[in-house]
Amino acid sequence: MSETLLSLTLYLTVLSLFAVGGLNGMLPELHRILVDKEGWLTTQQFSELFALCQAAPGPNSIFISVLGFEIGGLIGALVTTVAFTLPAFFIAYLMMRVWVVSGEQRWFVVIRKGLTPITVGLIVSSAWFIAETTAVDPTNVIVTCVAVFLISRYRTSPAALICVAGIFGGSYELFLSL
Amino acid sequence: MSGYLIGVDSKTPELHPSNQPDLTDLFLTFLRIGLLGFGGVLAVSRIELVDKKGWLSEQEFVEMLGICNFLPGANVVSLAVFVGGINQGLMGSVVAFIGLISAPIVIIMVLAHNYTQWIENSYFRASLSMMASCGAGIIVAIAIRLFQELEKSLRYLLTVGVIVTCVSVLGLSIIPVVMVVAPIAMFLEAREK
Repeated sequence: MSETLLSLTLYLTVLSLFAVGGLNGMLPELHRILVDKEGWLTTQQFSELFALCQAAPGPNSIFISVLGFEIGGLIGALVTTVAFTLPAFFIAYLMMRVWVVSGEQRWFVVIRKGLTPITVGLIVSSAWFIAETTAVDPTNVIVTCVAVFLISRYRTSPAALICVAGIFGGSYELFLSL
Repeated sequence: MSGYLIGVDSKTPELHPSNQPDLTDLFLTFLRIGLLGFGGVLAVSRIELVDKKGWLSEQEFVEMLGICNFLPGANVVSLAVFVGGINQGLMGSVVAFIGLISAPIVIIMVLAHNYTQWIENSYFRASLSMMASCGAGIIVAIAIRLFQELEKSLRYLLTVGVIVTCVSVLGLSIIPVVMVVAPIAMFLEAREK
């Protein structure tokens, strides 16, 4: 097991440096290594766990921790999480220093302002994607629309909305089954 | 610690000394963000960091996120490292980072343990499904808000239009699209003044 974890650590450390734009871009590569090449997981495990991570709260890179958990238990989860996040952590930290020191210099302002519409465009695209994938049922669409309205119009707290939505989901299911 | 940034560059306007968070603030805020981020934590980060806490201005949030998109790993994880580090140095980054990922990791491990059993429970599934739809609504609302706040120059609107068309309408892969659009956008920005 420890040998498996060691090679998993190496894979993830290298992969993490190429994971620009987050986890989604590297899913095929992750699948190729973990399922096709090493056979540590089945395709079904891989996709079910990914779906679970999409549904649960938090950044979707926690998928990496779950994969580690499936392969090597709690230690596996710890190892994969550290291997995947540590290099990215230090790169972000260095970049933060650049931001602090050179934030107002002309070249950096050009980068910051040049990237602004791209960032907004990517957020619009991801909102579009998430709204589409969660719209499995008319009730889901109504919940999404109500949330959009309440957040935009009344700036309702997301925590309250999510709790109410969770309770509503469970009780609606109960109501349907009666 | 309040002079941390000022000591580095007194002209940096990113400072909001009046509401500079301490380590506890950073940890608890990012913990909240992690817990509430159904379908991604970006929208909730914007609400917490900009609207509620005022640690970043609207513009700083978008610009910082823009830089973080080009760093390896999840962009919001990098954003946590930025916000933590700017306010409280290395410890701030560590605390914000741990705050952001700790709760989701614990939750997902509990769920992943016997996940087949959870997945078969219809009440649990319905509940999670509605929370995901609510999360989607939060993200859509924030996307609309960010678009409304964007400076409405022709150059900016065209860039947003090209990105959304390529990624959402044509279904192209994000990385090549950004690799082509980003240099053009920065070139146009550099010519602006």
